[in-house]
Amino acid sequence: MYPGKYFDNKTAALTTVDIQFYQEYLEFRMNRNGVRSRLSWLYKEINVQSVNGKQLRISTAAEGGLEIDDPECISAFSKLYYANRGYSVHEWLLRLGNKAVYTVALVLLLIVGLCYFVVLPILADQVAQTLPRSFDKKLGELAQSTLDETTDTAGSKLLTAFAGKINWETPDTLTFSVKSSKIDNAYALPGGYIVVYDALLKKIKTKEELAALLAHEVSHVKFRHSTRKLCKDMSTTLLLDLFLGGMGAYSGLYKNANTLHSLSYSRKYEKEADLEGLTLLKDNKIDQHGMLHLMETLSSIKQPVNMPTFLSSHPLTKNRIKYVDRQIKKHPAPAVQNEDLEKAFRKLKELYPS
Amino acid sequence: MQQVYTPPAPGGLFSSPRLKFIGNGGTYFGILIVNALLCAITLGLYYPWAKAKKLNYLYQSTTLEDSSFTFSGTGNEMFKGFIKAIGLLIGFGIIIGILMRVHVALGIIAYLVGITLLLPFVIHGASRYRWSRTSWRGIRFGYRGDRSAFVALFIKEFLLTVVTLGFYGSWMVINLRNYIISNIRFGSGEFKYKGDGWDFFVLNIKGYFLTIITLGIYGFWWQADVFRYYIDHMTLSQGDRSYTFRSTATGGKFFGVILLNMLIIIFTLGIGYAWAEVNMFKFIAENIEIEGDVVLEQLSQTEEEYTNAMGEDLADFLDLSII
Ligand SMILES: [Zn+2]
Repeated sequence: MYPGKYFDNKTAALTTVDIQFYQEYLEFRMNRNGVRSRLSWLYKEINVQSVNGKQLRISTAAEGGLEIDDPECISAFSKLYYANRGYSVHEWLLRLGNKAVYTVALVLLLIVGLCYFVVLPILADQVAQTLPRSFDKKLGELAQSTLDETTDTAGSKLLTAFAGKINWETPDTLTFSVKSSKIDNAYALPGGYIVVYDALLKKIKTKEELAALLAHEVSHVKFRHSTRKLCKDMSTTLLLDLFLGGMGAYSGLYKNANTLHSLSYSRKYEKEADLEGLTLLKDNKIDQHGMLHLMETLSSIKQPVNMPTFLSSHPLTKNRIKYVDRQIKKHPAPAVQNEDLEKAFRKLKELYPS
Repeated sequence: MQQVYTPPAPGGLFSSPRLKFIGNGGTYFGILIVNALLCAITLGLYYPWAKAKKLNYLYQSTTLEDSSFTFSGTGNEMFKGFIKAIGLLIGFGIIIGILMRVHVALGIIAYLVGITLLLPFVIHGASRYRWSRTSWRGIRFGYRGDRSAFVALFIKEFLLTVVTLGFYGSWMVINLRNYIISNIRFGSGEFKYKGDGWDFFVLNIKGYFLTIITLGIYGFWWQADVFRYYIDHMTLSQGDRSYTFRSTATGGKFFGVILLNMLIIIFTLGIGYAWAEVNMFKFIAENIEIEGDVVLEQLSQTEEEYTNAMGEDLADFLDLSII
């Protein structure tokens, strides 16, 4: 016999009762205003709510309900009731309190983390691969139309001539252009639009450096880094929205965390582009040290505070120099003096003297 | 064996039942995270069930005289509402889309008018559903507002607010509150709200300017004033007995709890959101004092069940938070 309180769904009065549990049902007796009565409810017709594991509320549709806060009574009931029917994840959470919650939360966070850091990038890459290359082209055109920059026609022609002397080993049609800007920058848009700013051209001293710069950018195009990053960012946003939307929490902090991560993600791409760039140089018999010199040139440039794109997404120059150096030592290759390339480079330099 | 609560002497006995929030951040976090995961896996379809689970927990963690409240709404009910709400919004979207093609201005006007007309229906529907699914010791709450009366009131108040460029807003809030709360029943108990638009307007003007002058610091005291205005003008009556409600929250207390919550959210990168919310609920429950001669045990069942959850779900889509 365990103590409990009964309410009859007619008034909010509580009556103390004595409860007894059986295999299939519970029974309780009470004495209200001198009237003795007895009620029994089958486990399958009751609704059970556990309040933080400390209080139990049992209710029925027609005959009211019980409030129980005696711990022995709760455990006696739970043994019989849950043995018959098991409980859902939610009930389990409510019954076991903090320990279960932290365990579940940890496991779930691990799963979510795994999704975020491993499954999602793979999935996004898969999606990106099913997109045709013409999508990259369209994306590049769109991006270019939104960037309002003045093309240097003469310079672009010379740069294209320079690039024409190199075999880029890619199915993409590449478009090289020089744009005038005070920023020392170069970038590749999806679909093969490669842009070098004239300020950066002025700082480049050798044809190997320029070849290395172009090789790096072409590699971005070849590996479709923009499209892959876009797929990744979009699926991440979707996941975060679904997840956080479901949680009811919304915080700019998540977005920032995502941006931070996406920056390191792009560093992975940078490394890929650097290494592929080296291979391109090697295959074209151009001195791979051009890549090293390029990085030295870049690191010597003083960065204004609000420096976007090329430099800011390529911040770890020291680290890059290290792995590029290692790669060159691992795959040394003879370089052949290419007169055509040298000539094309000199013409370009006449237009953009150091 | 005896009755737990001896019936009060007929002369009228004062009592002050305690309102408490006994939920804990850990459990609440667990519920939210399971919900979040299931929502993500089902691409959002789990939402109605997630919401039912969440409300279930929040209601059962709120106690009055150590008996907890119950939210008996189910995911299935809310899912039906969810589907209806989506259907309605898609239909609305299509109509707006067509009108947009005819003329952009026409589309925008139709959109604004549509949303304005939709709002009172949503508030009405959500109130009916939410209150009818709320109970305490088996006694159901209920919302008895009349739909056409509420829609008419809402549109009138809304138009006045628009015409006065928002100045009437304080009156609108209070008049709607007067109507809605005064139509809430707690079994045979009746809630009443008697606020005055002018008082509320003065309170807000004062709060607004002082907040600007003090570079935002007064904002907490403004918040405390608004909270007090919402609570202190509410009563619950049963026959000729009544309870009055009183806020004990001060600007300083608001400052404390909000600052604490901000720190929790920032330092846990948002994961502590559940704990912050629990703190807020605790704060609210602790700062409402109830006093009077109502005998809670004598509240009797009067309200019917109402299971149409469309308003509830639409309210979510329109981002109205109804607690
Ligand atoms: Zn790059």
